Amino acid sequence: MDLETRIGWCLQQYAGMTPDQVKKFAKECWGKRQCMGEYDAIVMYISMASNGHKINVNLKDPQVKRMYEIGKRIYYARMGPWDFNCATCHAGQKEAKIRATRLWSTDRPGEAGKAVSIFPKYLVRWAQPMTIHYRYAECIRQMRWPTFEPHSDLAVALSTFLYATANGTEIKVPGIGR
Amino acid sequence: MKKALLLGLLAVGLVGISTAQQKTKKELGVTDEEARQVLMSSFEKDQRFLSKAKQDESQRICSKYPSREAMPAKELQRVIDLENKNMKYPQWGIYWGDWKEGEKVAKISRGGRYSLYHRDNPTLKGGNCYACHLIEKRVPGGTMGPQLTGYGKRYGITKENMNTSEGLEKLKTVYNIIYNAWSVYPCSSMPRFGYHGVLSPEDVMNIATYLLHPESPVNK
Repeated sequence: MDLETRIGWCLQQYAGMTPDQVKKFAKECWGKRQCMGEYDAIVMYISMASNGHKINVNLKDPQVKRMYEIGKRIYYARMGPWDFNCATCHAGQKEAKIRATRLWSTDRPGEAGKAVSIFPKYLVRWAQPMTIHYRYAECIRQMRWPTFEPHSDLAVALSTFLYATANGTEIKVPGIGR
Repeated sequence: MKKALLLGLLAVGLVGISTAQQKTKKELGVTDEEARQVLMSSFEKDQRFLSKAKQDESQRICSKYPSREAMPAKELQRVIDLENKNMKYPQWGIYWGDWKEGEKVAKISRGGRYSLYHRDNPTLKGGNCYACHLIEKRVPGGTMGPQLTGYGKRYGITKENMNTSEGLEKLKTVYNIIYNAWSVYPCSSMPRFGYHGVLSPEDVMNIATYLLHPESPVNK
């Protein structure tokens, strides 16, 4: 589980929510502007408790390693009507920009860390916070893949892969993004 | 924690596999089938769009390698051969289209998006070329792909030679790249716009004209 799926699990165990209600709760602010949702607040509050600590994904645990491998496999899977995978923009040695935005790469040291250690971040263009599952959904939408469901196994796989790549980075929440 | 892990395992269909088999699978790493299960279980169950998650043969080959440089020559040739079978041309063959229309289609960034939580329009057409390319002077663009400013001029296309067989060959070369980039650059980051039906052959003709026509702002 990653942070958000763990929160989702707790909501099911102790707040009596069904998995569908949890997903709806997580998606409360998707596609909106200036939306301050309770879900985002919970994720933000818990994430900030880790400020100052370093990311430390334990790849020795076989379940964690398995999710890391699945995340990595999907990261490089070309798919969809635009032939994209995550690596199209976020891997490789070449420093490139998409329009005016500099792209980070898992192959260049430190960049993945700078990207994930600041989630949830405040998004200036929509004037609201953004958790990492929302960020995955937006990436996947831009890749023209089918719509991503938060709290899915893909989310856990991607989080495991990205945060493990970022091992050692100091957590500094909230970040700010365009 | 255990419950969710169990749910996770169920979701990827590992129920019934003995511990011994599971261990072997882990030693061998993750199978394609497992990864595919995780992927497909994580999308919205909207039948209209789930078909977009197919992977064709060329995509499967490209997915095996992190980059084109890591690919053996045989695999590269296989993709080129596969993609050369996927070319389609306009009804009238190669001709100089309308660069103004090409400019419009090239500049639209929202084409082909179809999520419901955002107000996306799935029928909107656009190549989003400026995401990855610098095309006109002083118009912001990306640097993922090669710079295309003054492309027609650099390619030596002028008003005098544009309708000769050499001129039209050059136009066809660029058409091929836009319609199906993998027929020339296998496993390129560039989507196969024509092959996937994102752009029609006429759209591709117009965009190629936008890039190469002497009157186009790209070449001014």
